Amino acid sequence: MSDHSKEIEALLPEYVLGTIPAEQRAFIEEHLESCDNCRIILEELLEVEQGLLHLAQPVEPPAYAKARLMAAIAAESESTQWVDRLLRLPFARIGAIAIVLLLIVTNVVLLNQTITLQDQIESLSRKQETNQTALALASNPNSQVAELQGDQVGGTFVYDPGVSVAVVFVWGLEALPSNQVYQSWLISPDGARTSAGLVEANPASNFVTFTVESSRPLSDFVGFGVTVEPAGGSPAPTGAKVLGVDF
Amino acid sequence: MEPLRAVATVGLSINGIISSQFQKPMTDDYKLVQRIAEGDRKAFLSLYDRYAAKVHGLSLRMLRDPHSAEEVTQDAFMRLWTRAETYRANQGSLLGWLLTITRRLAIDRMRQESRRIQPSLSIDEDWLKIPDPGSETEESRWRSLFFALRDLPIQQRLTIELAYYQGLSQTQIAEAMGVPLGTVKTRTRLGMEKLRQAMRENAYQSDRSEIGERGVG
Repeated sequence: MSDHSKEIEALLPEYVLGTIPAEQRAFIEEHLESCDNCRIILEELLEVEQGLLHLAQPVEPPAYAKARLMAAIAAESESTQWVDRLLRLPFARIGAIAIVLLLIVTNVVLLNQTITLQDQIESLSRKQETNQTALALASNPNSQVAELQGDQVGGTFVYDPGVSVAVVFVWGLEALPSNQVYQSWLISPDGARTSAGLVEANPASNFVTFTVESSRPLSDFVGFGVTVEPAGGSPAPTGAKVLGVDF
Repeated sequence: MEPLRAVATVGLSINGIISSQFQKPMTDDYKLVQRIAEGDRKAFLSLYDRYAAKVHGLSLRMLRDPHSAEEVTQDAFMRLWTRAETYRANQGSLLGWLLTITRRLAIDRMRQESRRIQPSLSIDEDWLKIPDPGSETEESRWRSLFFALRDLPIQQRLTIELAYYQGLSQTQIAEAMGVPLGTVKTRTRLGMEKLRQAMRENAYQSDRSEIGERGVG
């Protein structure tokens, strides 16, 4: 027993009743760590403290209190976040939910991969179509070739004036920042520009092939050009002209 | 603030001897609490039916107002519903856990309503219930405490009741009773010491009785 035991022992009733000042609490708790005698007395006093809780005359709450409580529980259950519910579950069910979540994530990843593959197939199909169009135009005796000219950019515009499809070969087209895009235009005799589609530069090589399709025969137009436009394209040219040719 | 219970692990076997009598209902309570932690409303209703009267009795004793007592009773059971997973059987009975929560909620409510400005300075015998002597019920362990509290000098008993059931500090009790702080401290110490001795003697008798029943000696 330490020198403080008698002093502490006298304070334990207040400590148990919860009326002790904070600074004395710390003093008592430090002493309790090293004094078996005071811990025994504390244990007995805590038994008294617990007993005081049990001495009140039981009184049944009114029937409506039970109904109100169950309604509150139902409301609480509905508003509880799903994470809270998850945390309430035993580990086995948490494991099952984790597996389901893993399967969902796997499915999403596979779906993304499928979409990417579809995009690649579509891109290859477009290239194949472009190549077939190029071959068809090259073997067509009516086809003409116009030379595209620009600043350190060049190309050829292969077309049959009687049809509405042309193939364009371009070299020296540099990649643009993500907020810009190349856009091609067909020029009418009155000077009006009709969009002929967006053009993607090829970062892997400075050579790009694409087809131009129109709703009218290309003989209705007098020229072709490529400009730099904001991402998504413009209804009419707004940016700098990169390439151009008069038929 | 709650007294440090964790340090009270060494010492007499009083709790062990007595609590062994109530092992079965406590185990049953614990199973129900585990089901509540998984969201089982039937288990919750079982415990409500079992303990609502005890919880409400304590709320009513402390708050002395039916409306406030109903709300505290509801809040205590809501805690059981939302925090069932925090209950540990080795910390004591579920009823003790529920009543401890109830007392804290009632004191919080009294403080919010500033009721402690006008504490009740009279002893009301009606709220006390003589614990059932049946050895199978948990409340039988509190029988000796009941008689010891009832037999305390009235000023000692009032001091303890003002502190424990009305959440008053020693200074507030001194002001309310119109006595020096030192007097309040002395009354508290003497009164609690008598209650402790009563519980100790009861535990000793239970110990002897149990040994006698086993035919040891």
